[in-house]
Amino acid sequence: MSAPLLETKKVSMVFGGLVAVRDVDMQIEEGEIFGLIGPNGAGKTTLFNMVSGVLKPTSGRLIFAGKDYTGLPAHLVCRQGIVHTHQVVRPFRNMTVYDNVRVGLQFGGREHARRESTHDQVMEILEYVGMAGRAQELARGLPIGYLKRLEIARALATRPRLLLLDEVMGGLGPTEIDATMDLIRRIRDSGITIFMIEHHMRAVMGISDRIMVLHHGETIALGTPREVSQNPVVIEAYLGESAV
Amino acid sequence: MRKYWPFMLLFAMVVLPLFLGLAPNLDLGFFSYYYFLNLGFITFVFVAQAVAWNILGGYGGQISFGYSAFFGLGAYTTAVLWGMYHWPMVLTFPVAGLVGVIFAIIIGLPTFRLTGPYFSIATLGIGEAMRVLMLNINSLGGASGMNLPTTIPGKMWFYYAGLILVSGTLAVSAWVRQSKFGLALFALNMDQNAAASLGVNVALYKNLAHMLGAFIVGMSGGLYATYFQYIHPDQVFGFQASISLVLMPVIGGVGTLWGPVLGGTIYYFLEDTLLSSLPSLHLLVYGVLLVLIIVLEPNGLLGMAARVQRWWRARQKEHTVAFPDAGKGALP
Amino acid sequence: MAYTSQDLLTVLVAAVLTAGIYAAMSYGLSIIYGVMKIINLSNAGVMMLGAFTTFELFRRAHMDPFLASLIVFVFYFSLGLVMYRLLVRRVVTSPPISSLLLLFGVWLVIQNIAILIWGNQDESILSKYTFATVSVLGLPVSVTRLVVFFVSIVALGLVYFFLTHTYTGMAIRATAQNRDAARLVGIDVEKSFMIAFALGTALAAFAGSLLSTIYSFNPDFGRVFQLKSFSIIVLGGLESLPGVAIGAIILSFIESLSIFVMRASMQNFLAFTILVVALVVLPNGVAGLWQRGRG
Repeated sequence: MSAPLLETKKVSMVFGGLVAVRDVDMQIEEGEIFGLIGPNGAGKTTLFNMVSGVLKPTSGRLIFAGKDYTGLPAHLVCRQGIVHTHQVVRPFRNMTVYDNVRVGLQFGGREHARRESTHDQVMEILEYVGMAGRAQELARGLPIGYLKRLEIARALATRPRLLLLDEVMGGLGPTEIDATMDLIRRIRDSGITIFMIEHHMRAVMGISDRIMVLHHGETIALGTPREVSQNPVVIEAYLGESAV
Repeated sequence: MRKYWPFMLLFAMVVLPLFLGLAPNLDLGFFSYYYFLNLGFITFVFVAQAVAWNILGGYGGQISFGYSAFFGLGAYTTAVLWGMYHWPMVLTFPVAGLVGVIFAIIIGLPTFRLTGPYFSIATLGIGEAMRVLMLNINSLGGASGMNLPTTIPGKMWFYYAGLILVSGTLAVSAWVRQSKFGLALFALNMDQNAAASLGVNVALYKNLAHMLGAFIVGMSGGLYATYFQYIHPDQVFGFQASISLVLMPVIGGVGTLWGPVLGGTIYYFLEDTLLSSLPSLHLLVYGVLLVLIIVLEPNGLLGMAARVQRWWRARQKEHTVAFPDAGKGALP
Repeated sequence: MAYTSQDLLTVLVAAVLTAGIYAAMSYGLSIIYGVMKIINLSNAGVMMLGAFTTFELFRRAHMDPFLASLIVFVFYFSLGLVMYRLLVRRVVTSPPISSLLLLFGVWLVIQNIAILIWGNQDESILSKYTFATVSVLGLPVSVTRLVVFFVSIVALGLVYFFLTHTYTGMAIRATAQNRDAARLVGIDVEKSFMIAFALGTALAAFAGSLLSTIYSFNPDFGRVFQLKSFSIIVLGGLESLPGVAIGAIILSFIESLSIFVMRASMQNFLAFTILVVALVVLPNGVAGLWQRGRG
């Protein structure tokens, strides 16, 4: 078996004495959809932020495609091929959909400096996520479903090898969720590895190859959706939360 | 037709003095020859600075209250190189700009790598710090200021030098708007973290915009010093100089291409013609305008004009949609 | 020139006394930044207004300047509420550029109204304490400075007590830590903003009032002290009272000791240099260094 695409070695994050993530070890293989679940406050977004370079781990190492990139600033992490979407959408509100995608295309990814014919590429990406018709609209006027797609489109424009999706299903209706699940599968099939946080259980169970469960900042389970959903520790963690 | 009006404006600015020069002693009020050249030069220099400020402040959303430091350093650089070392005058201007750039790096490197309001806070002190420093450097005149050589070209020369400076600055600003550089500035203005996560080197582009602004303002400081032949720390490093640089673009329309031009022209016209006897009333009016603009119309006078235009069009043909120009890729 | 140890002691006592008023004048900025994440540039104008209000109460009503400072506190607390309701409310959630420019505009308005009223010349308050001295550690110390120091410390203590021991104060601190979480647990975030802004404004005016008993002042008087306040809160990591206190002590000591090596007129340059150096070496302030040491 080849080396994993992303590997974390005992990464921890401490905020003023509070441990948000403790000694997480994980390996994501190239080409898989890797789900991350856990109750609120389990440290999922913190882990994401460390992988994407927004936060520097208090301790531990991050390795991407065999290279240690711990402590690299966010924009350079992006240029290595790791990009993330935000849980609360953060479009450039006063820019058009077109320009939003152009930012990812012109600055992100490994060969950003050499990209030339951007118009075709922007339109290609917008076609891909089904937003070509809205290219010239301002982002601030879009409904939430489209904003979520715009987040994904911008991220795809950086030509990532690893795409981190933070609750892209949140706030979507059932048909939109089906469409987004389909989109994520298509993205994976085009050769991009997916690492996703998701609260929507049907979605994450339906498309993930493997799932990791985080609770109080620690890994409590890792396996196929089936294994994870039958794990008594996981059931305990979730029941514990809903009982509160 | 609409596309060409900047060039027609430029043409008018080029030929107007030539016409007025036919009868230099005729008193036409605002359009009297010498008066026009004088006001033209000053307006050009300060509008160029406002346009330069707007690149970082408007496109990038990083408010600096410290551009007088670049202005003053440029003025002193020209004064020293030309007055004390007898360099050719014109050659000192780019050097004045470069001194500004070096200073911009000193301020930008520590403050731009941090998130938070550190840049704006630091810039509040720059001008004052430089003023106090210069007052205490006796070899550069200290508190008595510096006299420059009086062997200067005529008012006509300065008028056209100012026109070249302002046109060049506007061309640079227009280029930035549609370039990759401008895209980075607009993106980091709206959301720094999102921009960084898409690969934008936020600190780099802020520094570049700051350096570009510093270069232009530094050069304009040099030009200003040669025109007035005397500089003093209180005047070139004064807080007043920094204030006006913030007010002109914001009142005209921050982050737009022409807002600083409009704001700057009105600012100097008002200061010169109406309120020169009551400077505090002038700034009071501008303070009130600033507050009203932020609360009511963040896009300044240009934004208000656009509103009036939309309202007028909607009245003319009420059956058409309200925002015919929406979605043309315009940025704030 | 030769300096004696007596000179050094005099300077150190003066530094401690100055640190007190420096902390009082900076804490308002720090509260407003901590809670609302906006830089209150109108602070400089309010400080100046506090000084002139005290001046008028002293000159026209022959009021004791320290009594006047209490009236100033209450009056500018109310003014802060009005400013918040009328203006600041509209920009709290906007991008930082809006609040920065808005409050800058308010400062310009305040300052230029003051110029129209009082003109540009320096004023000062000469009360019965102005030239009185008492002996501290065998050194003559100005009574005014001593009273200003104690009043500042007491005021800071009371504000700190309010923030840590009353419901409203704790709501304000919760809002500072995380406004969304505060909203979720039922705190009226809008009210926290309003009280915090009024409190910061009142502290600025109060500090201006105290400063007017020591220094002469004119309508531009707040600007220099505002620069010093920024150096102090940046040194202190922007948001905490201990940070502000440490920042005030550092700035005050460096300024006081600098008179042995440079001209007094260079003090503003010094405050700015400290600010930039602090940003280079201590981006999270002295308090950040302390936290790093613990973590």
